[in-house]
Parts: sequence; structure tokens; C-alpha cells
Amino acid sequence: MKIGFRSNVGKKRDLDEDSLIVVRNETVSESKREQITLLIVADGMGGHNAGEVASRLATAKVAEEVVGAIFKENRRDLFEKKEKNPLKIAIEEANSYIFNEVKENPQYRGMGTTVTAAVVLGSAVYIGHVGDSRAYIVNEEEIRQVTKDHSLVQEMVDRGEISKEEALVHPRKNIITRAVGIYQDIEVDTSTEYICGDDYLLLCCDGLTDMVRDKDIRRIVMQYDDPQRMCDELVKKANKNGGLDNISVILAQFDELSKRKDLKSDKTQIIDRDETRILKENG
Amino acid sequence: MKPEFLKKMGDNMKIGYRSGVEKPRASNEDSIVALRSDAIYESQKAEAALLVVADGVGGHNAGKVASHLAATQVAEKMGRVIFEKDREDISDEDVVPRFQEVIKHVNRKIFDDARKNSQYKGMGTTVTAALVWGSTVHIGHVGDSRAYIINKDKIRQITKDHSLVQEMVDRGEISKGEVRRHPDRHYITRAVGFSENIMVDTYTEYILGDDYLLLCSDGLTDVVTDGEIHSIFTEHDDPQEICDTLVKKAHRSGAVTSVSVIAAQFDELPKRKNARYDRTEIKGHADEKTGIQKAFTWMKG
Repeated sequence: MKIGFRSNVGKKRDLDEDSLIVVRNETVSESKREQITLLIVADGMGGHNAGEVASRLATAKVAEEVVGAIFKENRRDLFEKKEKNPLKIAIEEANSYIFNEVKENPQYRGMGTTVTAAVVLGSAVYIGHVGDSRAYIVNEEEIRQVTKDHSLVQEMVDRGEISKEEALVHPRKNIITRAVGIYQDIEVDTSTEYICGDDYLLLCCDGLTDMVRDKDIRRIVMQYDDPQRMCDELVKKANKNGGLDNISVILAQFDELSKRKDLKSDKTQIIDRDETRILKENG
Repeated sequence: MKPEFLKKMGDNMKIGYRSGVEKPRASNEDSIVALRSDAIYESQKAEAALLVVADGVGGHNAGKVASHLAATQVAEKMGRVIFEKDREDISDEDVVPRFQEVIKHVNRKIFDDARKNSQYKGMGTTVTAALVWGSTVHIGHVGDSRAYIINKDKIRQITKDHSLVQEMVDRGEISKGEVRRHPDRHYITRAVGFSENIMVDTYTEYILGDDYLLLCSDGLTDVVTDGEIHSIFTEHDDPQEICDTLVKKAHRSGAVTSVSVIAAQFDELPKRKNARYDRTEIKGHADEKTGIQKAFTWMKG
């Protein structure tokens, strides 16, 4: 598994308020090897330089809670749980942490952050998500957004008031409807995806997706071999297109998994994927 | 931020590891954890790692149980410290006491488990764990696994073995050279889980971009000399290649127990020649205050 990542201030901002983290753990016990990876992007907001505080605190808190849970519970189905999903709990913990930090430090008033986190365990990707940062699965055939933005324009699209194309250029496209740290309680979206060796997992903030269209993202990912190079090129492209906001990207490549064409039966994957989609549609 | 830290992204720390026994049916009583975190806050990189080697003792799989429990519990509790440091919720000075607390807690847990379950009677484990955050390395240590800092010029053993032969060396009864052939070399004088209370040694070290950190079980150091380890580090660059070579060398040299190694390289740190200041000296403080050590010895493996 190869991972690239980059965070860039962009062309118009003075400060990079994004945070990201890549945590890789490998355990060998009784000669059995276990690998687990956690990826997080967080896009902070709030006046008086508080946005970067919120995104850093959230990233580090979510990472701490997830890593703690991995070693404490030490079981493969840990993230399968609907109730007490460790990613959900971790984001809720981060929410309370930031909410309390704001109460104690009035200068941080109004700070909050998006959080999009993914745990990769074998071919399963478990996602926890709040805000308008995004996770995508990218391969030769498609680019598929696997998180749903918690934004005003997304709600308008859902109600059929505007089209997806209109949402891209809507003047209020940067207003989000959910963020970590703003309210005492928070609703966290969780979902599960399954990947093959030819898939890439992309986590990014809106500094990328506001500047670079999905199909261009896919083209850039497919054009290069090395995930770090892909990240560098994605950031370059976002800056070329204006770089209006901070740009953060994490890209993971799963060389060790079987490629889709080599799979003896792809059935489980398709069924799993459909189930995931249905679950998401239902609630 | 200091200019020497502004290196290109993707220029990351590298960690290699390997744990194995020569014969496939032989039992591997070691557990290792290699946890690494690469973060970017305000466009600045923050890198950290938690590395653990635990070498279990006790028959009927009890050694494996002890080493697994110790490695994962130390990883859980010390792994959290990486992210607490990222949030500035814990200061450098508090990391060492935390290490003491965590290993003592794990000791108590294994001790209690062994007392409750007769099949685990007498189980214990070594623990050598390193928390790397930037250029600072905090080490917690019990037993005869080891931590080394190695660069092109020298190899330096950071931890001190809690073993019978080490005590004999300290008393001047045998020379360092005699240790590896001494019949009692497998007796350790401290292990996690063996007694109700435990003394934990801690060390704080500083490293630069040309240093490697090596953690290993005695399966390596029993049969491979420090000089031989050093030449493997000078002949290879890649930590995974180094680990593979070390384990191969140990097996060729007749390693009887499992061999576990973790090697880490910190490319993002400034190299010694570019460093503004070099704090890479030994600053060790063994935990001598907790009481007089009981004269326990027992056979490993």
C-alpha cells in the first residue's frame, strides 16, 4: 500500500487551515501480520486564526481515539459495528473536545472543522464523515464520490431546486450544514466500501473539488504511477485553476490487493457494494 | 519553523520490520508493533512513531499471550501520546512518567492474568518501546530486548539488559566478550508480568536524519555482534532491507529463538552536518527510586 499526501495554502489565502494525517500500523504477533491504516482530512474554519486550531485538534483527537480502539479491542470486525462504531465515536469525541475548547477560550469562538476519515483494513474501507470534504474511489472506469457533502447546495440538489452543475458555481456553495465543534451534539455519517487492487482512495477538501472537476481528478490520478506524484499534480492543477482555498489531498494505492480483472469471483464485491449503497439510500 | 524542516513532502521516515523463526513449526514468542503517524498542520509536517518489541516467556503459548498483551497495550496507551503531543495536551517532561505508568499498568495486568489462569502461570515478557516525536526519542525498557542508535560512524546500545550476565559484567566478574558464550546468558532479572511491582528504565535520546533507531529481541543480539549489526547498517540504506538482512544473518549464525527487529530512519530530520544544534547525547535515567530489586532470575524461552 502506497500513500501520498500534500497540503497547500493555495493562491489566495495567507494561512493553511487544513490538517491531514496518515497513520499506519503494522503488528506482528505469533508471526501473523496485521496492517491497518487511518487517513483523515480536516478543513478548519473560524475567524482570528482559529480554523487551523480546529482542524488540528480534530485530526489529532480522531486519530487518538481510533488508534486507541484498534489496539484495545483488537478484532477485525471492530468497524463493522453499526452501534459504537469507533470512527463515529472518535468524531463525536473530537466534537466535544473542540466544543469545550471554545467554551474555555473565547478567542476560538465560532471555530469548527470538517472531518473525513477512512480506515483501511484489507479490502474494506470504513468511512466517517462530517462536512464538505470528500472521499472518492477512483479507477480506470469511474470516479465515485462515496461521501455526501453536508452543504447548502447539496441540500438544494437533493430537493431538486438546482442541478449538480449549478451547484458547482452557486454563490453559496461554501456554506456547510454540519461541522465538528460547533454544537454540543453532532450527527456523523458512516459507510463501508470495498476496494480492489486497481482502485485508488482519495480524500480531499473542497479546495481541490471547487477548483478541479471530478473527471479531471480521475484523469490526473490515471496519468501517473506514484500516489505522491498524483497528489502533487492535483495540488498543482487546483492552483493553476485559481487556488482560491487551501488544498489538501491524500491518495492511497492498494497494490497488494487483487486487481478486479484477476478476481475469481467479483460477486461478493458487487453485492457488498450494492448493499452499502442501499443502506446509504435508506438512511 | 526552522528552514531545515522545510523538506519536500513525500520525504518521509521509513520503517522496516521483521519477526520470525527459522523453522516454520517453531514457535514465535515475539510481538512487534510499528505505528507511524505523518501529519500536516498549517502546511508543516509532523512525524511520529511508536515502536514496540516484546519477547515473551512461559510455556504452553503463555509467552505469546504475554508478549501480545504487552505490545498491544503499550501501543494503545503510548500511541495516544503521539496525538496528545500533536494537540499540545502533554509536555515532553510528562512522556517519561507516562511510559513508567503504562508499563507498570501492563505489568499488573499480565501478573493478574497469570495468577487467575493456571495455564498462564509464570508468563512474562520483555518490553522495549520507543516513542519518536520529531527528533526526540523516549524509550521505556524492561528485560533484555534492546534499543540501539546507529549511524555510519558508530553503533550505540541505549538500553541496558536486565540479565544475569549483564549484572556479572557490571560486577567485573566476566568481560563483555564472554557474555555471548556464557551458559547463563538467557536468564533475565526483570520481566513484565513476573512480579506484582516492577521497575521500568526510561531514556530520552535525540536523533538526526543520519541516525537509525533499531529495536530488537535477543534472538538477534545473541548470535550477531554489535560490529556485525553496524556493518549491515552501513552496507544497506533501506530499513526493510536492513531488517531482512539482520534476520537472515541471525538465522545463518544459529539463532535458536525467534528474531524480531524494527529499524527506523528519519529522512525528514536535518542531517548532522546541516543541523543547527546537535543534542544527540545520552541522557539516560534509570528508574532506581522505586525500591530494591528483588533477586529474581528465571530462564527465558
